[in-house]
Amino acid sequence: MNTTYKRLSILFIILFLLPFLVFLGVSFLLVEQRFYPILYQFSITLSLGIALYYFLKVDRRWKGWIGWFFLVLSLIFLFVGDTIWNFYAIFLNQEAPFPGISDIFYALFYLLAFMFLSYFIRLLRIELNPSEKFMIIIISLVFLSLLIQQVVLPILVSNTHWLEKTLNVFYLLGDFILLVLAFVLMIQFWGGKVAKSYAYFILGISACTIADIVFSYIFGNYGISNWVDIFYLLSFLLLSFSVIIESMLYINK
Amino acid sequence: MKFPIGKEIYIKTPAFLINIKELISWFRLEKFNGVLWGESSNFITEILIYNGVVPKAYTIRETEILAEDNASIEIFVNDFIARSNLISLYSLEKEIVLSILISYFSTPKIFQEETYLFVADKLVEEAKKENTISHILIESPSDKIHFLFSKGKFLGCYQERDGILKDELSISEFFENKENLLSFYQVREEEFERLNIPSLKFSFIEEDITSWTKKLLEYVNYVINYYTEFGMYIKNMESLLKNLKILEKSLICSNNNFTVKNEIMESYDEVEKEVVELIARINRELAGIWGEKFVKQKYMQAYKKFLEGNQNDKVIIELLDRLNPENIEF
Repeated sequence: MNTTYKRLSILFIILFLLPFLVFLGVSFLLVEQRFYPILYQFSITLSLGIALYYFLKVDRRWKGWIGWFFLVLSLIFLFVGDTIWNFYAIFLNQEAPFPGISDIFYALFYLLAFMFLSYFIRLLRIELNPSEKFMIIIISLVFLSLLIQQVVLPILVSNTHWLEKTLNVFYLLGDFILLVLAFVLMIQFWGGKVAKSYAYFILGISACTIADIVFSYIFGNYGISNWVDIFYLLSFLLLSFSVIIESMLYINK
Repeated sequence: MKFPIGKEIYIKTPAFLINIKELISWFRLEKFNGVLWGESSNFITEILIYNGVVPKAYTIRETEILAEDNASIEIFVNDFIARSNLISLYSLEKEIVLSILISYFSTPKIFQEETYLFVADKLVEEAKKENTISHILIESPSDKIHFLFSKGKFLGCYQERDGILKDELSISEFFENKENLLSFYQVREEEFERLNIPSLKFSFIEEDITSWTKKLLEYVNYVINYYTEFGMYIKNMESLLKNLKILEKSLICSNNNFTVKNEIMESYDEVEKEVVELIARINRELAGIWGEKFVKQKYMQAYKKFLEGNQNDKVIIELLDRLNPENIEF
């Protein structure tokens, strides 16, 4: 398992670096703009394929299978959303519309990811001790107030379409809820291998949060490729990697 | 005495000073050979122990046999519980016990024939044949004399009148009396293994050890099922039994549940120790995946729930003391 883990880690770093280097090439006008979304699409397709390959090998008698199935499903929706988004850039050479069809799938991604985390919180009947509760409440409140003050309120008072506002706020609050829930689970499993899967999930959602915050500010001047995409790509790869790491624990040899 | 008096381990000790369960466990563990005596006011129960198990037992009053085998053990145990007997324990060499056993469980070559028909020296020569176990029994009107042989050697003789084991081989004198009867038993060493030697049980005391072990396993399985409810499971549960001296050969795991495969003959203490180790192994394995804190939390919940469900069962409560979460190392 250790060798496979190392090999997969290297592969995922490559899957991140390839589009990243192409993006740098695009920035310095060395390569055509379309190359970046093509590489992005290639990376997420391959990472999702590997995640599915490992997940399908997991013993379905395991009670947690259904929980992780929700996450895999959410990743598929995220993939479909990204693919539609990239379609505009690759084939029509234009910026994808926002709000657009992709947003239906992005919304489904949040819904399924939420179902994944709440399934485990319910299944495991999590019990937090007072200090853990205190820590989670404090961190959540600080993060939430910063998010509302710095991002949500400016979005709400901006002169954009109500649907755009709603989606931007939905994505940001969605990120926040997923982060808090995943953090609760990670604290529970601290020290075990399962905690690693949740740590990758948290990192993935964190990358997504950064991207969503920046996206809410700069949409309109987004263009065919934007450096924000690097965070979205990182987010997708980390989420896929968390599925792989978790699946490897339950594969019947 | 039906059996010879061997090397004294303890003698005429009041029953209340003896932990009989531990004693039986010790017999099993050490594969003890010897005789256990229980003396009541007017009778004695003699229990022969071979390799830790009981093949033969008698309760006698002077020379009269009052009870035999299971009935005899029942008397011993009842007196023990009533604290009305004195316990003595004697060890014997394994070869001596083998020689005694063939007189009960093999077909005699000579059976209750008049001694004058035989030549003592020739018989002894036959008894001393290499690779054989032999037993010469002479029944006089007033006593029975046993001559024990194994692997070509004379091991000793004893008279049932006193049970004292003697080294000298003065067999000829018994052949002169026409009233004496001779029986001769002999088996080859390899044939001995094929003899049907029974293993009598120490009544409910031994049944208790088995049922306690089952109770402990009931608890282990409860904990495993409790973990499974939360999605915590171990791929190869049977591998956890590896290198456990008793449980590896006595348990089987199917559908994530442990059951007894072979009768557990060892000490209860040892079994309990290994069950504690088994639970610790399960917890360690799961802690590696789910983290120590979470597994500990779930173990405590399982322990409490199991206790709550068995609140009226004092035996369980006593049994589970060692499996308390505080005593389990992760």
